[in-house]
Amino acid sequence: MAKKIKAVVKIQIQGGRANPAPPVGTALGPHGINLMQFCKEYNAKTSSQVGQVVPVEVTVFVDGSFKFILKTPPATDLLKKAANIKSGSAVPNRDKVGTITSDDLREIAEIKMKDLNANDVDAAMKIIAGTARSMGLVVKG
Amino acid sequence: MDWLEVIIVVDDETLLDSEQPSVTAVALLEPFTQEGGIATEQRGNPDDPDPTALLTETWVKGYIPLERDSAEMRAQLAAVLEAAGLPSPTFSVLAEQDWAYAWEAHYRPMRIGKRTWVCPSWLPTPDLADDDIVITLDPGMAFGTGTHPTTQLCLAVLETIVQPHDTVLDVGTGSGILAIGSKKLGAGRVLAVDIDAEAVRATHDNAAVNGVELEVRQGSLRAVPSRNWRVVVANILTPILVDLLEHDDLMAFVALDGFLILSGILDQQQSVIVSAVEAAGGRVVQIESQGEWIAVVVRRA
Repeated sequence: MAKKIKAVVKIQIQGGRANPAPPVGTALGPHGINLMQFCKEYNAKTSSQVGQVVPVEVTVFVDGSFKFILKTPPATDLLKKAANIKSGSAVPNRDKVGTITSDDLREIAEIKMKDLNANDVDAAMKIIAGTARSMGLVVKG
Repeated sequence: MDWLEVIIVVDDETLLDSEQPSVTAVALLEPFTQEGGIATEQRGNPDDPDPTALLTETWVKGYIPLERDSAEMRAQLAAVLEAAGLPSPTFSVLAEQDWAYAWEAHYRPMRIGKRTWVCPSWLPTPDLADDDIVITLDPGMAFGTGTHPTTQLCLAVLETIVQPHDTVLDVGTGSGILAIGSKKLGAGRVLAVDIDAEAVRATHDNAAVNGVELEVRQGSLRAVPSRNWRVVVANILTPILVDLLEHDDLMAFVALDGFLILSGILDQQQSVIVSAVEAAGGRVVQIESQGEWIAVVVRRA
């Protein structure tokens, strides 16, 4: 049965740790979906990935039902790990917080390829490099 | 705890520096939203007949504890976004609420047809007449919550057709709502099939909540071991129904004196379905409509 989509919501959640606090409750609650069921299903499916951010894409239908798919870890998370930093810069143009190599970019681009709107790895690398700059990382090489 | 919601609306059709604006916005918001996190949202396009069509705007939403709200913080965030060529953010305050249960306010028991109620489990059962039936169904994972017109059309038709001890086959059962409804209307053997493992699991769960025994199998018509069902119901989508009629011999699963109920059909697809039914050796005896959706009742020619 074709159900009209009301919204598609993407959220970054720690694997196995979904709960009704923000951002899950604030982002999904207003759409009237069964939050506890979502959290239960998400936590069950990500129970082996605790300690890692497992982004989720939730499709909410106009009748209040939903489905979701799990995505690859967010680019910002992968970049933080590669650059060995805890957080991006709040003033990325001025305060640089680390560096990243083109090899790192390629590795991350390959992981993120299937979730990015990019035709090839080079295009994906450009998107990841843009994300790196937005976090106050200097791209080298 | 109260929260500050920051919303930046970007259009991912316009790429900035070969970056997706929503990805940039998420990266820029992140240092501000360590506690509350970020969500992005694209809305369905209400004007597009394609049910999966989305608007290109993306709402990037960040959540910041209200105690950290300040004019300086807002100005700093706005400056960072402006420097990246992104639109200005809007801010709104979200008062603390119990998000786990707030969504339940959206639901009420629904009366469908003449005697069927669909009632969420956390609400008391409405006052019932003697022959009313209640299907307890919690809205949740996709597939059939009772609010969709095609589900309602099928339930209303089943009310008029299902006789005590009838055999019923539900193809593409989803949440199991039509199979459970048939059983509560007095059907004998009821078999529900769905190609989706999640739907099979949901149907098992929903049957248990309703205290009815169903046979549930994962698969399509090939998973159905016998023919000669007095009622066959398939609430799926027109192209799939046509395929089932043309290639999987759906009509042959209906007993000679039986009924086939088809839905998930848009009104403009009526002629396609009628042709496929006739080519498969059936005749349409009744058409019901609700909004832009129809259900057809078919008998063997």
